[in-house]
Amino acid sequence: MIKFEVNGKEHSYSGDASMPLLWFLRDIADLKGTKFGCGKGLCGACTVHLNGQAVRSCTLPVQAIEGQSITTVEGLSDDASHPVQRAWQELNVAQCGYCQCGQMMSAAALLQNNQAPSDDDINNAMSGNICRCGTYPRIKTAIKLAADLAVEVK
Amino acid sequence: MSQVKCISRRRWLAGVAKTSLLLGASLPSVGYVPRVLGAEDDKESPEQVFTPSVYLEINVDNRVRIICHRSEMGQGIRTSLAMVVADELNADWSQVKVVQALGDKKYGSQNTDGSNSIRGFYTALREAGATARHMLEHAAAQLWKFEPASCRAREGRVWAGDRSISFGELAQLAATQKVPGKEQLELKTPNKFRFIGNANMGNLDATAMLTGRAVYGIDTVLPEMAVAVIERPPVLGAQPVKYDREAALKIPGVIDVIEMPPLKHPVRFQPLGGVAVVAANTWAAMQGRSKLNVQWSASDNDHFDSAEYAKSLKLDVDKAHRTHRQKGEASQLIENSDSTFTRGYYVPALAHAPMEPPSASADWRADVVEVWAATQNPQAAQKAVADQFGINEAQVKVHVTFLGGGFGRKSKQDFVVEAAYLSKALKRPVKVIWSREDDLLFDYYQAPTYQEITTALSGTEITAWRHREAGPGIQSIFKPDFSGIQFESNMGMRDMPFAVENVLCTSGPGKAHVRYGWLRSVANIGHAFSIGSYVDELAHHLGRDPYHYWLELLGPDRQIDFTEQGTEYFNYGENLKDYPFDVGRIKGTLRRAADLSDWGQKLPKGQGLGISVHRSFCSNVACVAMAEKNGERARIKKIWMVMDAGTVVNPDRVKAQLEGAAIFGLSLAYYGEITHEKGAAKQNNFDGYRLLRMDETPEIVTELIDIGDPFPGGVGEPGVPPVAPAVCNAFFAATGRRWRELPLRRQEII
Repeated sequence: MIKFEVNGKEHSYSGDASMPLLWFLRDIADLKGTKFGCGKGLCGACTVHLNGQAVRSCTLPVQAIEGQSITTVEGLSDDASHPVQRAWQELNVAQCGYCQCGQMMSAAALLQNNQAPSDDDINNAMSGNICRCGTYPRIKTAIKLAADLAVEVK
Repeated sequence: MSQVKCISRRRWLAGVAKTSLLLGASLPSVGYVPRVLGAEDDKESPEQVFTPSVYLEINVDNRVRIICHRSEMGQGIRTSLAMVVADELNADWSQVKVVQALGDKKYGSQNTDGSNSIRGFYTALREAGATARHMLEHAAAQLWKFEPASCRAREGRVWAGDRSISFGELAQLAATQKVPGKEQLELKTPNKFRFIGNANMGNLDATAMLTGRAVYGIDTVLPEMAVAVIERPPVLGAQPVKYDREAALKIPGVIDVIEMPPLKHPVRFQPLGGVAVVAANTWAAMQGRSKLNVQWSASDNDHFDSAEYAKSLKLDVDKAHRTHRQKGEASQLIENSDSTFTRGYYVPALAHAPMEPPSASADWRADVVEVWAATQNPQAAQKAVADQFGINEAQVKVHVTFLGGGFGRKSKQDFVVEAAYLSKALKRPVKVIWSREDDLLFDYYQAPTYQEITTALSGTEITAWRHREAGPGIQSIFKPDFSGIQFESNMGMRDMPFAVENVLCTSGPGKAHVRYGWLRSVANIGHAFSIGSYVDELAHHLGRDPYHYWLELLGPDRQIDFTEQGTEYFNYGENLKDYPFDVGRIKGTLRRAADLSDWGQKLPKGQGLGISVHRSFCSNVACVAMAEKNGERARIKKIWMVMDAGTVVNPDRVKAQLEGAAIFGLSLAYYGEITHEKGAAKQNNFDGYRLLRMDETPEIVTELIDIGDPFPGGVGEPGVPPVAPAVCNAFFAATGRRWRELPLRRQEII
C-alpha cells in the first residue's frame, strides 16, 4: 500500500507500484487535467508538482512518491483564479489547450521560486514543455504577467 | 425527448416546411429536423425552443445555443463561429452557449480541414443569425401589434422605443413566425458588426482548458469502459504470425488480447491491423502489449528505404508522368536557350505529431455504435465505421470531443474504427489510446517531394518556367497502386503566379510504401519551399535584391484566370469572382512584410533577412525571417508574418494562427523528417522527431491586412508555406550558404 497526497487529499494505492503517476492520476484518481504526450519525459504535457517542484508524471512511478505531496492543475484553483491561469486567460494563450495544463504547472513552479524571472529563466524552466500549436510567445508574456499578478495578490 | 418539445417543433415545422428555406448552397432544408437536433447535451434544453436553423436554438430561459458543427482543435472555431451567428442575431455575448454538434449530414460538411470553417460557412452562419433576428422582430411586432420595421433586436432583446422584451420571452412566438426568404434578410454592413472583427472576444472554452476540465478524446470515460493499446505492424501490410497472448494476459488488469482484422488495400481509413491488448487501465494495457513479442509476416514494403527512395526521386523528375500546366513552348525554349538556371529542392516525409495522440472511444450496442472521438471529421468517422462493418451511417453516432491538435492527422479515422471494432468484439465500451510511438510510426505522413525548377532567361527576364517534381501522393491511400501526385499540384505548383509566357509543370511517378496524408497546408509546403527558395537564388544569381525581384516576377497587378494560363485551377473550391487570384494583393502582402521588417536596412555582419510570399487557401501570407550566424551555426532570431485573408472574423485567433504557423514552419525547416529503413519508420518520439521549443523560438511579429474584401479566406494553414523558404533565404543572407534540402538539422547549421 502506497500512500501520498494529491491536491491536499490522501490517496492510497495497492496496485502495480511501477505504474507512472500520470496513469494513476488519469485512470485511477480520474484527474484528467494531467495529459499524456510522450511517455518519456520529453514533452512536459504531464507536468505536476512534487513537493512544489515541477516533475514529469509520465516517468515517475507511484512507488517513488510514498508519503509525498502532489499538486495537479486541478489543485491550482477550482475557478482559474491562480495568477498563472488568469494571465493565460488574459493573453488568450491556449490554442488547442492540450499542453497548457503542463505548461502552467511548469510556469507556476518557476514563479514559486523566482518572482521576477528573466527571459533566460523562463526559457530554462519552460523548454521541456512542447506546444505543437506554437503558443510559446504568449506563454512567455503570460509568465511575466502572472509574476505581476502574483505580486498584486500579495 | 419530451412530448411537448416534439409537438412544439412539429407545429413550427408545419409552418416552414413549404418554404424549403436553404441555408447556404451546400446545406439541406431546415425542414429536415432529425431526432437529436444537433444539441449534443439536449437534455439540458428546456422544453420549448426556437430553432430557426440547424446552427441555432433560442430557449425560453434566454440562452442562445449555437451549434458548432466544426471540430475545435486550437483554431478557436467554437468562439469564432458563435461570433458570426451572434453578431447577425444581435445577441448579447453573455447569453451565448456553444454546443458541439454530433456528426450529421444536415450541417453540410463537417470536415474540419482545408482552412474552410469560416470560409465555407460564413454566409450560411450569418443568414442563420439574420433569420432568427427577423423572426424575433416579427414576433415582437405581433405581440405589441406594431409594424415589424419598428421592432429591432439589440443585445439580446427586441426593442420598440423604450419597450423591450428578451429573446427568451419571444422564443415560442418567434417559432410560429414565417421563415423569411433570403431576399428578406437584412445582413449587416461591416460597420455594424459588434463581434465579427472584434479582437477582444476571448475564448469561450478558456476556463475549461485552463482548469483541466476540457474533455479531449483521450479523456473520455464511459461506464464499464476498458482501455486498449494496439501493437501495429511496423511495416505496412505485414500481419502478426505469432505472439505471446498468455504473457500479456498474465499482467494484472489485462482483460483480453484481440487480433485486429488484416488491412486490405487501398488502406483508406482502415485500421492497420495488429494485436490489441485490452485492460482495466492504460498502464496495464501498455504493460501487456510489451509482453506480446509479435512476429510479423513479410510485406511487399519490407525493402522500403527512404534514403534510397529520395535518390530515385531525383531521377524520376525527368519522367513526365503527369502534366499539370502547359502554356507555350517552355521545353523547347529551355533546350535551346544559352542562359538557363536550374535548382532542385527536397522536403522529406513529415509527421503531424499533435500533442494529443489519436484517441477514440466506442460503445457498440445491438444496432448502434456510439463514438466519442478527437476527430476532425465526424461524418467521415461515421462512414469509415459503417463501411468497415457493413452497417448504415445512421447507426453510427459520433460525438466530437476537444482535439489536442489535429493538423490533418485526425481527419483520418483509423483510430475510430479500431475503437468500434474492439467494442464490438468485447461487447463493452472501449477507449483506444495511441502512444507517441504509435503516432509517429503509424502516421499518414505528408509525402516527401523532390522538385526541380529550370528557367530560360533573357537578361533578368524569365522567358520559360519549368517546374518538375517527383514523389508519392495522397491518392495512394484511396486507389491501389496510384503513383505520384495529381491534385496536389493545385497547391502552389500550377498556380505559380509569375508573369511568364511559357510554363510547363509536370510530375513523375512516386509509389507509396507507407500511408501518406495531408499535413497543415499540405503540398503547399514543398511547392512554396521550392519556388520561394528558387526566386531568392535566381535573384542573387542575377545580382538583384530578392524582394524587388519578387515584385518584378509577380508582374503587373492583375487577377489571374488559370484557364488562360494552361491549366485548370481548383482555387480551393471557391469561385474566382468572390475569391480572385489577385496578384496585386500578393504584392501588397509582400510589400507590407518588407516595410515592417525594414527590408533593405544595413544589418550587422552575420545577420541576414530572407523573404517569401505564398497564396494558399485563398489567403496571402508573406514572411520575412532574420537569421543570425554564430560560428558555423545560425539561428532565426525574428520573424514577421503578414496576412491578407480578406474579412477576418476573429483577429486575435487569426494572429495566434500566424504565430503558430511561424513555429510550425520553423519546426519543419529545422527538424521535420520521418525516415524509413526496411519499411519501418525510424523516429518514434520527440527525441527523434524534434519540434521547436521555447528557447529556440524567435520573436514573432504578426500583422493582418484589411482591404475591405467582404469574403473571408482561410487562416489555419496559409501561414505555414512561406516560412521555410524565408528561413533558408535568411540563412543564405547571413552565412552565404544555401540549403536546398530539409531539414536543416541534417545540414549542420542548426
